[in-house]
Amino acid sequence: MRKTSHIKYVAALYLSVFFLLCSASIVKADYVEDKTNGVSYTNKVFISKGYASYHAYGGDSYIQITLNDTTDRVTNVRSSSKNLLAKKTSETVYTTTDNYFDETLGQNVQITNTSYESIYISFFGKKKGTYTVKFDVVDKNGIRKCTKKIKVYVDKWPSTPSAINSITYAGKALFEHEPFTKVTSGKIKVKLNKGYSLVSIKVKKINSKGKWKTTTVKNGKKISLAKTAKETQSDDYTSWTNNPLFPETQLLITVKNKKTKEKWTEEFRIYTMNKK
Amino acid sequence: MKRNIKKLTSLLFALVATTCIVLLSDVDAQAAKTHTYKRDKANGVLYNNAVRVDVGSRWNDIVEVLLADKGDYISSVKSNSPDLVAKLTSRSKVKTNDNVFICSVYDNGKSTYKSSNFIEFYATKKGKYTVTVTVKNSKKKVKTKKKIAVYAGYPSDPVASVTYAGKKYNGQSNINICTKKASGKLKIKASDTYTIKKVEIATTFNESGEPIFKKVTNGKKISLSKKTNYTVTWNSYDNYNGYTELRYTTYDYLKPVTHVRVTCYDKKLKINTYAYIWLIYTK
Repeated sequence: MRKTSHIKYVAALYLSVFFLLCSASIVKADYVEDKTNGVSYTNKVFISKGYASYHAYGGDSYIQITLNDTTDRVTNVRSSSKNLLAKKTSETVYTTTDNYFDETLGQNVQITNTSYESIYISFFGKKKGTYTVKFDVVDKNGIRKCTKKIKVYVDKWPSTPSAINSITYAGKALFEHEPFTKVTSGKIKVKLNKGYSLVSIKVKKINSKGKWKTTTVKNGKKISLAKTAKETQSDDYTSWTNNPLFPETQLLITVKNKKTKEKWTEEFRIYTMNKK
Repeated sequence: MKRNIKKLTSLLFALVATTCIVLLSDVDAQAAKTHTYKRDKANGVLYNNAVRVDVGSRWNDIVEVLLADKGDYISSVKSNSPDLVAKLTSRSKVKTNDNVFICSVYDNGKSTYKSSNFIEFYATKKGKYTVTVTVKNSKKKVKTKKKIAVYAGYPSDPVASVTYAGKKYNGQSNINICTKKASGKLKIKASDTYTIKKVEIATTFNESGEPIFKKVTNGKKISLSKKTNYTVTWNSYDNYNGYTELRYTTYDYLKPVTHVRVTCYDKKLKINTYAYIWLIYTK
């Protein structure tokens, strides 16, 4: 069977999104905030070899750097290898120049203020591997404040598994209840991977009074899904009522990493159909 | 006498035929629109009169019905088949007299409305369906009934495939194609129920950051952009008294991007839609 590179690209895209979602909950410190120097940025990036997109400014991915003092500037973006291209691909500059005659000095004076925002660095991988990209932050006088590092992984996806092994509702896996289910009540069963423990299972849905209600349920017990989700709201200008065709029931599963003691909640949704 | 009548008849026929041709070409000009909104000014109704939906999917396009008169409401939404579920899922109305709903897509907000309503669909079988929407006034009297054509199970993406420099990439639009070929033949194939009307490419931007599109022939050779540097100026101000302000964004792309804009004609909804593809030169 001949594979087109487009299918490869789409598969890589889906895989990258899937693994990024996995990594988001496991690989910590993706987003770093240096309060002393006033620099915030993402320090871990995962990309595919040879891929680029318009939205990533001609790279496969990009990060945004936020500077607390906008008169600071990001400069000297450099990669540890010629196999990983990295550069500052976009920046928005705002400058004001004021010219006036200073009576005290007895001469014309010019004051210029320049600030930088929406700063982006993009990455393009030519070969599989792990690379380091560095950038400097300089102040308005050009003095270097600090140097930051970003780790870029090309075709090296994080392999840490999710905490949840499986979730079944009324005897079937959640995806088997897509796009909606006719089974409005059934047992919920969560199975976790080794090293993780279940903290709680919560069911969230809109009740008959039009308000979101959350109830805690025990693993293995019966739950009932939302059959309607009518909601009425109003503000000073408009009033509106919603009566969804697919009422939503949210499953909030809180897990704990037994070793690190870290807790987090994963969200899932199941839908029923309401034609009325 | 008979000959004159024959001449007159043929003249009359020619006149009628010409009028028909003029009228039909007017219809053709109407087909150049890019949305499905239809307005009934007398009854104060603006609505989408046609929509495409997928079979067995929760994610579909939504039909909007805007009502101009206070107190008007949608009393019923009926599908002509159990294979297409149609439901009024959202009703919003203004509370104050100076607040209105507008539709910028239809007439740039010129006409105003007192309520906005959404109709959603779920199809279980491919086909063409008709949904009837009944509008009543504040006195509960029927004002008008509108028909919406719902096409279920037809391709939602107008692009079936893109071939560039001998390589085929199977549909969809809004994709990034990475290539090491600086030039090559570009051929766009339309999905079933669509036709390709025009193919344009942009290798550069204007000062406002919009790509400058130039028409190309579908199937012919194009050359990709090598340009990676752009500057977009947002605003510049000068008070002519020594004070100036300037805001701009600089772009320094890692790899150059060529924008492709395909104008497609949707034969079911009878509208033009744009499909975008980005060719990235990664050599």
